Amino acid sequence: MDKEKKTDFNQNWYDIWMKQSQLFFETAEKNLKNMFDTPTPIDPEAHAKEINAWLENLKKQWQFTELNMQQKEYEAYWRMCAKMSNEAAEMILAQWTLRAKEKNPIKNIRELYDLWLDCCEKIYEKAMQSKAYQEAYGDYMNAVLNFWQSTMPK
Amino acid sequence: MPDSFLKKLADAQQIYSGFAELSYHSHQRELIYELDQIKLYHYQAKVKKPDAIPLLVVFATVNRPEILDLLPDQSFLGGLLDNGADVYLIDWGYPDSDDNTLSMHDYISHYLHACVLFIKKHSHQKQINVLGICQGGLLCLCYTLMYKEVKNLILISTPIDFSTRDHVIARVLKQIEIKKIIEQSGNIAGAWLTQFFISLRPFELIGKKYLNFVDQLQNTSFIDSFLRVEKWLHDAPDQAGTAFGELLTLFYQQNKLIKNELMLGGKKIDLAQLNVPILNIMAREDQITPMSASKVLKQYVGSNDYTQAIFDSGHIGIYISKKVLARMPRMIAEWLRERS
Repeated sequence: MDKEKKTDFNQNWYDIWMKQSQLFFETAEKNLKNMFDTPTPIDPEAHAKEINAWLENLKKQWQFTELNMQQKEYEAYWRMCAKMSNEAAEMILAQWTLRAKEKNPIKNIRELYDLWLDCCEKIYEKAMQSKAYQEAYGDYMNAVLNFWQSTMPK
Repeated sequence: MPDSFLKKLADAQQIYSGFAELSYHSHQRELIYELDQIKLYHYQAKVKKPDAIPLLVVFATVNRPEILDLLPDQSFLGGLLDNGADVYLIDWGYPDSDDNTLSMHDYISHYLHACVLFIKKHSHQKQINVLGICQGGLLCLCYTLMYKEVKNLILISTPIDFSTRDHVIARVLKQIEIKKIIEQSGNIAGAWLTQFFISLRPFELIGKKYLNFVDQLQNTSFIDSFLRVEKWLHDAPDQAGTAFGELLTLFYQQNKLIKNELMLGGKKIDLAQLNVPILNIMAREDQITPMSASKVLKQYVGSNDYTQAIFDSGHIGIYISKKVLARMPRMIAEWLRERS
């Protein structure tokens, strides 16, 4: 019964990351590019309108008026993600403003991406400690497990 | 998106796609025993007179043991060999649908015991030293209690108490409807386990990790290490349904080990009866097995010879961090030599 498994490398997490980060860069490019074309770093408070428009675009990925069957299985987790996305957006704005005041401004979209990752990570880590999140995450993992089980040989 | 960054992303994608072809093992070893899917390897000694008492390394069935020897100059097994250990390694293989009824007792009493008996004969020793990692540590701990073949027991990142406040993974796993899932489909998909571990820290393990990869494209040494770890991460074997179900229900969900309620193969696993010398190693930033889950072992065991060691790293980083590898294998070898 020595059946060496041929490892399935089709689940390409780099591709997934590229697609997800694409949304960030495209919306930032569309909404914020002019802000970073200036010779001196901008004050985010003076550009609240453009920044909020961009953040709304980022939040949209978690907002669905109609969930499909698969999404309904982990609706609670999905809603948690939407909530975290909102909290991360508030944190980004606060940190961006703080850095501008501390003379350590965000100078380009790439730096903004680093800040976004930091904020999302902090919010996610905090959420993982809550019972509500752990329950929603457990439901989500049950749904994901069911999906992967369906791909296995019987 | 700036063109230069776009180009770097595309270049990175091209390089990334080659990771599946990378070779895995760094140190010379010989396959000396096979039983079903299980393989036992003996590593070629790196010193003239290696330690007389062999050291059997037992990794978890979850994920592959290759992480212990991924890079020639950053290898946990290589470090043990450098420090004079006579190293054996169990490879649990890739369970398939025929293996779904394998229990934890089967892993311990059938496979692990057979390997230990083989090593005793191979080395002409009455007892051997055993080093168990994470879930492999649980197997070794139970084995040490059930059979009298182990001289010294070393555990790394082995969870003992599954109810501690910061043990997030245990809390989440309490929600998993494991019995229902196993009844439906037998084994547990390795791809799910990979997704599970990544989803515990997605912004670090996807976002930051790949951004760092893109930034370091010119650093060939970094890229080589990165791609090997990436290959390892994706190479998660499916899990034998019965054994994995027991791990989740008896340990993670019901915490029977420290409640003194654990029975395996009709035998009670009583930690108070564990009397061999124990070296319990933990990683300070371990989120899979937080230190709080491991360090309580001392309260429950009967051994008078108990040593605890903590290294500044994470659950996997502890096997590939240059700083840790400069100290941990040497510390293990010295601890064993004092008890040989």
